[in-house]
Amino acid sequence: MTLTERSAHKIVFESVTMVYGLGELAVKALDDCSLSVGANEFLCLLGPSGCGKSTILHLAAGFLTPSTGAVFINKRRIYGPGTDRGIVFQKHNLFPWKRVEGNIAFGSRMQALPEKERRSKVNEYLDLMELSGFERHYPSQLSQGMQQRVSLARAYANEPEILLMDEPFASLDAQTAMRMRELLLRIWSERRKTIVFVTHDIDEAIHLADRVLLMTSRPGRIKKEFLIELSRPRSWEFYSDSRYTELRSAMRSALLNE
Amino acid sequence: MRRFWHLSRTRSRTSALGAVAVSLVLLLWQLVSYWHVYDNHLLPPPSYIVKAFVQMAQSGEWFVDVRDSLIRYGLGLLLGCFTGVAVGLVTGGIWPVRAALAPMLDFSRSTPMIALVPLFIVFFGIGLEEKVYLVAWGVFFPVWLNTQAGVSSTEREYLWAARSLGSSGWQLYGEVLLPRALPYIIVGVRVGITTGFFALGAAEVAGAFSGVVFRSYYSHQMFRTDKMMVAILTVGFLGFLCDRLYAITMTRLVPWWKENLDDLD
Repeated sequence: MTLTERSAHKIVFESVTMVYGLGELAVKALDDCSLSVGANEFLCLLGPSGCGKSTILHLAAGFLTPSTGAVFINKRRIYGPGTDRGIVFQKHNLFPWKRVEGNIAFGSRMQALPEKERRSKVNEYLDLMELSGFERHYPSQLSQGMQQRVSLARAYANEPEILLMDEPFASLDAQTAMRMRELLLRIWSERRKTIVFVTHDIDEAIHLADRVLLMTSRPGRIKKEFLIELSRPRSWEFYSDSRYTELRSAMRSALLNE
Repeated sequence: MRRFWHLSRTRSRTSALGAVAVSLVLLLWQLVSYWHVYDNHLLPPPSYIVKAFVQMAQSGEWFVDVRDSLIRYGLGLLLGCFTGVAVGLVTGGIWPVRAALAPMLDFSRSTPMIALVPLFIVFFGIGLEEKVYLVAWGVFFPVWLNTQAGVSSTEREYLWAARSLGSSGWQLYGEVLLPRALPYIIVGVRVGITTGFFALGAAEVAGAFSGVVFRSYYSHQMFRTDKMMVAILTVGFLGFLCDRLYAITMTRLVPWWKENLDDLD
C-alpha cells in the first residue's frame, strides 16, 4: 500500500501479526493482517469466537501493541489508547461506582470542561439515547439494554472520530438487540463516525455494515470481504429483501467452509 | 397456623431471635450459679458481674479503662487503615513492588502478635506510642491484602475505558483503581477492626497499667473474677459495637455496594 492510498483511510493495519504468550505456549491470534477502514465507514468484523476479531479491535484501540507490523490512525502510527477512539465492550463497560450521569460525563471531566458544558452534554446524550429520567441511577439498577445505551452515550459524548465496538449487543435478548441496532444506525446517520463493529452474528453484520470482513480462526486471517450495498435506512423489512438473503447464504457457506 | 420455621426472615425477627438467645444464656448462667454447680468465685453469676460493674463505674475505673483502650485502639486503627490502603494501592497496581515486598510482608503477617510485643517495647518503649503501633500492625495486614486484591483484580476493561476517555497516570488511581478496590477495602477494614482488637489485647497484656484487657488480667491476678468478667464483657461489647457501627455506616456511605454488604450483616 502506498502512502497516498493510506491517507484516504482512517484506520490502516499494515501486515499486523499478534502473538500472545511466549515459547511453547505462544498463540498466534492474528497472522499477517492488512486492512483499512475509510472515513465514516461502518465496518463489521465477522467470525467465530477465537478468530482474532477482538484482537483487531484492541489493536486499533491501542490496548495491545502488534508483535510485528503497525497500526495507523489518520496516517499516524499509534502506540496507545487515545480520545480519538471511543470504545464499547460487551461487559464490564460502565463504571459501577458512578451514576449514569457520572459515566456519561466522564470524558468531559477528564478534559476538564466547565460544569455547565458538561451538564448540557450529559442532557443532550440522555435525550439522544432515550435515557432521560435515569441520570441518577447506578448502572446495576438498569436493564442490560439501558446499560449499553449509557455505554454508547459515554463513548459518543467524548466525540471520538472512531468508535470501536466489541460485540456490544451480544448479551442482549433478540428484541432489545434489534432495537439497539436501529438506535445505533439512527444516531450514526445523524452524527457520522468511523465504526468498527465486532460480531459473530451474520444478520447483525448485514444489518449494520457498509462492508463486512469475514475472518478465519487460528491463526486469525481475513478470509473474505463483502460489500453490503443495501440502501439505508435499513429497517426490519429489509430482512425479506432478496439481496439480503443472498448475502446471508454466501456468508454462511463461507463461515461453514472455514 | 404458621409454623415457627416457616416464618419469613425479616430484620426485626433476626434481631429478636438474637436477643432471646442471649437472654436465655444469661438466665441459664444465673441458674447454674444459683444451684452451685460451680464455685461462684470461679464463675461469677450475672448478678455479681452487674454489681462489680456498678462499683467500677462509680469509682470511675471502668471509664478510665475504656477511654485509654479506645484511644490506643482508635489511633492504631486509623494508622493501620491509612498505611494498609496506601501500601495496597501501590503493591496492587505495580507488580514488581508487590513481588519484592511479598516475602517480607507474608513473613511478618504470620508472626503472632503476642510474640511481637517485646520487640515493640524495645523499639518504642512502654507507652501510648508502642500500643498504637501494635494495633496499627494488627489492622494493617488485612487492609493491605484486601486493597491489593481489589486493585490487582480490576478488570482491564475499566482501565481501557478510562484511558480511551482521556485519563492517565494518577487519574487512573483516583478514577478507577481506588473506587474499584473500595468494596475490598471496606471488607479489609472490617476484618482489621477485629484483628486490631486482638492486637490491643496483646499490647495491654504486657506493659500496660490501664485498659480493658489489662483490667481482665490484673483482676485475675487479684482473684477478682467478677471484675475480670466485667472487663472481658466490656472488650467483647466494644468489639461488637465497632463492627456494627462500621457496617451501618458503610451501607449508608457506599450505596452502590449496598447489596454486597448486606451479605456480611
